[in-house]
Amino acid sequence: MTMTQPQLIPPLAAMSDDPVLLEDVTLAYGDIIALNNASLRLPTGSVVGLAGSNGAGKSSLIRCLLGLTLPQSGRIRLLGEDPRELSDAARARLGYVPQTPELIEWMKVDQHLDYIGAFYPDWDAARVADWCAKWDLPPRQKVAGLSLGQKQKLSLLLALGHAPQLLVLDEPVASFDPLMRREFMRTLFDETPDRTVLISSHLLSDLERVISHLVLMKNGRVLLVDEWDALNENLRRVVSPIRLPSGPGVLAQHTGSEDTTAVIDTRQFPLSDLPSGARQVMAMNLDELFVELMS
Amino acid sequence: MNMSTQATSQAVMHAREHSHWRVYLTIFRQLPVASWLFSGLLVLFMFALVATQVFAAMRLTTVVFGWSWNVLLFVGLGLGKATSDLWGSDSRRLVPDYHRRLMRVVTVTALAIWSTIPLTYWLGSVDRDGMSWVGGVWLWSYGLLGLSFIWGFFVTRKMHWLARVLMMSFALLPWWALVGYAPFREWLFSPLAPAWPGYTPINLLSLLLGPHNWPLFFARRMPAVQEAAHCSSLARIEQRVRTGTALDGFVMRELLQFFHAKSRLRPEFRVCPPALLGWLWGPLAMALFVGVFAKIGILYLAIVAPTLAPSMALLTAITPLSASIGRKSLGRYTLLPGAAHRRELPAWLTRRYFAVCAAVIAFLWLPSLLVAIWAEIPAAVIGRFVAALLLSLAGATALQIFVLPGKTTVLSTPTVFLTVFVGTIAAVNAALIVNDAGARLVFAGVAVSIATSTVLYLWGLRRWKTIDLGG
Amino acid sequence: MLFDINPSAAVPIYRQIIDQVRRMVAGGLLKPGDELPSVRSVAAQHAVNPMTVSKAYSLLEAEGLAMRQRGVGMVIAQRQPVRELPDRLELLRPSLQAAAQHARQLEIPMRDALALFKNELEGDKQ
Repeated sequence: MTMTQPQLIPPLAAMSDDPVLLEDVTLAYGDIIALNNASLRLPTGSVVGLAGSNGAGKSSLIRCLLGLTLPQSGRIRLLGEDPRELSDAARARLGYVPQTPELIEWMKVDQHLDYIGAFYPDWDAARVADWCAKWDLPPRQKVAGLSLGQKQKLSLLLALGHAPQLLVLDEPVASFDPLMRREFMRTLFDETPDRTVLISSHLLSDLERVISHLVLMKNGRVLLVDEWDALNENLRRVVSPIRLPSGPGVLAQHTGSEDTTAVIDTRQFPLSDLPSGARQVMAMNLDELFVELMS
Repeated sequence: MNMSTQATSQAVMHAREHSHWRVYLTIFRQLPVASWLFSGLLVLFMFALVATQVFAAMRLTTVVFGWSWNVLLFVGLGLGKATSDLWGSDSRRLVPDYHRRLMRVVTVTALAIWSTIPLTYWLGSVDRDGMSWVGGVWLWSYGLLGLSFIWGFFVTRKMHWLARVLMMSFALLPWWALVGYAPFREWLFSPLAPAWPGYTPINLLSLLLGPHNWPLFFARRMPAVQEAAHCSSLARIEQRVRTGTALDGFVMRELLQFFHAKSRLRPEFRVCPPALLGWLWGPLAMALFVGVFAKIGILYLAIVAPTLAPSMALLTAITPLSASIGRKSLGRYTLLPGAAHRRELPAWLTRRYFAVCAAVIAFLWLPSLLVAIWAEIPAAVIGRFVAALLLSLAGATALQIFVLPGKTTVLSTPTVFLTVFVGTIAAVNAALIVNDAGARLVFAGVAVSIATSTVLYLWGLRRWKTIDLGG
Repeated sequence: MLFDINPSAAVPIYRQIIDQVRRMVAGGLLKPGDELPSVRSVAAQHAVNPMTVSKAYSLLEAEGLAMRQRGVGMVIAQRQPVRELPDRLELLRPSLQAAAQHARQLEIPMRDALALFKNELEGDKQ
């Protein structure tokens, strides 16, 4: 597999009030480079899927964005502020679901919700109670006794109860059954207009339902950022008897014994430019695209 | 009034209604819940206290511990534990105004407890009698036992029953020793050799069991971050390794390079030794207390007990605070060769942190000072006592900052400042070891602790090597 | 009225909605004045992003196929844009593209594929 120069498809329309902005963020742990000049801007109201193999840097990106890990270099703005010095007003507009639920084990579910909820001016206790009932989360149960799926539900409620403008979710649905995953995705759009959502997940078929934008990461780099619909319509997998000229529009190509499989962006590499004998021009769903670009 | 302004003003009203006191009340309500673990122990102690007081009244025994010490110690520990439990996780760092509010509640609660000191002193005035510095050492080990088993309990969730049984037996032990079978009691409390007066079985046992090694020894896996986030430095380090923010304090770096001759360390080497030292800072700091007091011959428990308990609570409460401050840091520097770990700690923050600690600790000591004056203890003795206490506390803080990972600032002004402190204390203690048998006992205990710790560390290391640190 | 949405298809969700509405209008299943389900209900039912549904509806509106009616939502427009044959052929193209791709993958000779398509067309008439 040869990967041509990473194609940074033109970044999302940059607005000064973009809720999420990372520029050239580099984070290394010793020799291991977790983020390599990663840049990302998310416009208000976008629902962004963050995909990539294990170790691609998804969690690092999220942690840097939230100010939980300090990168070696780069510029980060979270809701227009420096994430290290996040104001309380910004915190009140932010919801975060960590990869593993971070809960106070000895509290009961309702105590935990009340406790954290007390810190938010806009905490909607009634709505949270509704969700608890709907999601089968027993309010009088001790957190320590909950199943992992229930803990994730609680962790999600702690992030949702104040109807945040920006919701950052790091693998939030791993332990949910398919029904709950649907339910969760409906909740993302529940009555909060212009909510920006950044969601990292390996469950690509879930992402496909809800995302407006896709961010693909590989080896600490942001490989691809674009509207998902545009990617879906314009990226094609082709099999060609000869290698395609590398350059803009050719995202990846892999030369086998007989022919070359490539992923092209038809906006920059029109189908008419394909060499004769090219075949199997295929549109891809997110799963297929992921496999083509990541393998 | 149109719809949108109405909505806005409602939002403003709503925000006003969301007044601070409700938040504070919610936090306050959680404190006793958070320290529920201590309630069983507290009841037990109350029972034992009543029994002892009754025995004392019947002239069957002398009272070693009074109300004030026990109540304050356990309230202090409970408060400290509650704080570290609630202090918590990364996601809570993103909750608005979380840590400041929590600290305010804890501080106010601590001050409220402090204000009862004169009362408890009056209740437990018998404290002043019959307490030698050997008793103090014993007391120290005993207090640490409580701490280590409680922490152990939280770190090793799978050891519930054993942790409980051990905690209860050790909680009962001193009282049983006082009122129990006399020959055994005498054996337990008498020196093994006349030349080493402090080497009583109970002291050695306590010292052996004292350090916070049990979690390391028993842990089947490294504690999950959310389970024990701030109950042990181990979890904190593990979290840092998992999240890639592991930092080796420079003391540790030097040690590790010396022992392993490696500049790049495998995760288990990064994790274990700082965790180990993290646990040892408590015993070491307390050893300094007792050692210094013993030397200057003023182990007035009447002063020490009420002073120590809130001070300990405060220190425990401050630990997570300082850990959290340590995450921001000063400029850019390299802790491990080739690894650019960056920490930023603004100098003003450091200064303010120390200033606040100093002020609060001084404030906490004030009532003890008044009590001491009231008790007509000579000014010179009080002066020496205060100096020793200051030195010890500074030492404890310094150790804490050096040893707990993520707080090391290399070659910054505070570091130099702390180095001087630690150096002074080391010198004082070295002199004590040379000149004073009692101090030798204390430090022998510490040496045993360190030896135990090392053995357990190596033991634990073998198992930990199989643990996947990737996250 | 239910849309048939397959989020894992290689065709974007908004396009799936547009295509279905177009086909249903062309086929007479949706008549002028018929209401389209609300954005919220489609999004909730399929657990998809409401923005995607509204994007589809906006494009249908721009095309003249549907219109926004106050208090009701989206309805099929009274006067449908006149569709010339080339336009209608364009509508057919996506499904034929997919069929062609399948045919190539199954290595079906062109003659047989065309015969099958012809057969299907004739079968529909009966």
